[in-house]
Amino acid sequence: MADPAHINSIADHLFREHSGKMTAVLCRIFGLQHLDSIQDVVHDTFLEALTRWRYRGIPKNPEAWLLKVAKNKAVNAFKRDGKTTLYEPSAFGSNHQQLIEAKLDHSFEQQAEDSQMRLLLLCCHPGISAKNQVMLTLHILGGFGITEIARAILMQQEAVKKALQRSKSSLKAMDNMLQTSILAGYEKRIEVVHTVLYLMFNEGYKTTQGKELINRDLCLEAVRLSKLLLRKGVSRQHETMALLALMLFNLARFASRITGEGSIIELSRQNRKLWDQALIEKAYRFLDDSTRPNQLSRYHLEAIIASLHCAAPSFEETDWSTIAYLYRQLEKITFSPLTTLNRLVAESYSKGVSDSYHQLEALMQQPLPAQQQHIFYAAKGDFLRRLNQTSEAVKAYHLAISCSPSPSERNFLEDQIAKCKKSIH
Amino acid sequence: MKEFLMLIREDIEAYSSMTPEEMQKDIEKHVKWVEKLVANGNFKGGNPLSTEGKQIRSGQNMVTDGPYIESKEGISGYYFLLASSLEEASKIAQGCPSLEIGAILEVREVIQTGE
Repeated sequence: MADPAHINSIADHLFREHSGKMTAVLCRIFGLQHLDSIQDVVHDTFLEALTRWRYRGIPKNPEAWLLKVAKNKAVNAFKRDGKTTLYEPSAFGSNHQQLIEAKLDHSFEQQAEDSQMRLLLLCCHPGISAKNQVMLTLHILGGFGITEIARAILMQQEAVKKALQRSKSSLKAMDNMLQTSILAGYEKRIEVVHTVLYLMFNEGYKTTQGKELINRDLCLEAVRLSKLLLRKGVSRQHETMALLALMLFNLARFASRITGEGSIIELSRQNRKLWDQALIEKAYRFLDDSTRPNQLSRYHLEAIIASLHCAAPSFEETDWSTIAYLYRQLEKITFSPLTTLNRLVAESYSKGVSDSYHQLEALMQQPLPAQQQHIFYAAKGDFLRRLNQTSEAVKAYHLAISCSPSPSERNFLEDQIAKCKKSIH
Repeated sequence: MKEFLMLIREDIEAYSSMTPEEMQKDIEKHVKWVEKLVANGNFKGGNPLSTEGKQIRSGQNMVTDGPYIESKEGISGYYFLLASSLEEASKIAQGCPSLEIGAILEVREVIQTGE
């Protein structure tokens, strides 16, 4: 019977976070080749919680309850299947069950973070493509299901499922990092982890995907894993701090970018009072700590740019010339036309629209990434509108629409066209 | 107050495709609902049922697996509700979060045979 006198609650996203934690620890004990069985054990554990807690209420210590059940299920599953090949040679011949239980007790508190860190490094294996690294990390460490991933990154469920299956089989084949006692030699991998977390955050942050909660969850997971990396990472800690600062500066502005109906609000029209000051302060702390002479990564530059936006009391009072200077530095690292576009937008406010417009025209002579083409046309439309060439602006916006933007971007562009037409009449 | 049995009949396999986050959300909804029942004095008890079961029929000496015959649907659990009438009890049942994921509820008054 439920105990009405004692009402406990579950921490937000406990299941999702615990899923990654339990998977990581169990993989380390039983081996990555049993990833599928381990994921089944973790899933069954949550299923059992679902069945029981609904009726009985939430136990006092939900985490301990989940751990205990997962432990029993893992021991039973591996005993049943005869899969008791633990890594240490000492495992053979002794009492397996006791050994597994002892390892689990020991592992969980002391090694949960370490195991997650190792699994994160494995998910970011350079042999797996960037998008698949993001999906794999979300699935295994973040406890995101196939439907959730598909919804968050706008892919078909079947495609996500196939990609995950492929990545998981490559993952199983590279099982060794979990066993070594030190993580030396994996410094280079941290760079890939940064990229994966950066992409994960951006996937969640894109306004193109509407205002679904799942998008914010993606951002929060990227933040959680970045913090894990900061505590456990073996190198490039200052870059991790800068990356975290960048994420938090952006997260602080998450809610102000979208209307209640899910349409995009441009930076110039956002209500700055909605920006989360506590997050901005945290971001500043990470940014301060990340600063070291002779170490300036793209994350540092992007975090400083984000901080300047957060520091500006209004759109008009933004320090556009510094932002333009920082984008110029960033161009030297990223070589991306999108960075150049961002620099031109900043310069359009600091130096004048006309100059930026001409440079944009030149930039658009180059081949541009197909998925981003509409952004360049939209910027061109904005420049032309500000140059009072309204009918030309409308043409540019129409071209942007023809590059198949997302529904919310299309709405935004149609609004811009409507505004232009109003000013003509 | 009369006592009512509320049976939850649902697709038992549906839960296997839920993500951890969805399961957590589902639990939270149920716990809130039960809390409300308790606060209003409508809750007497309840338990989930194991998905494994046997069906026993007379005459043919037949025992078959599964609490369900033709579909994946089965009774996943039961509650005892306290209400003044069948109408009130069914109104309470309408708030059960299981309905959101396709469950069918059956509410029946328990006939007290004692004393």
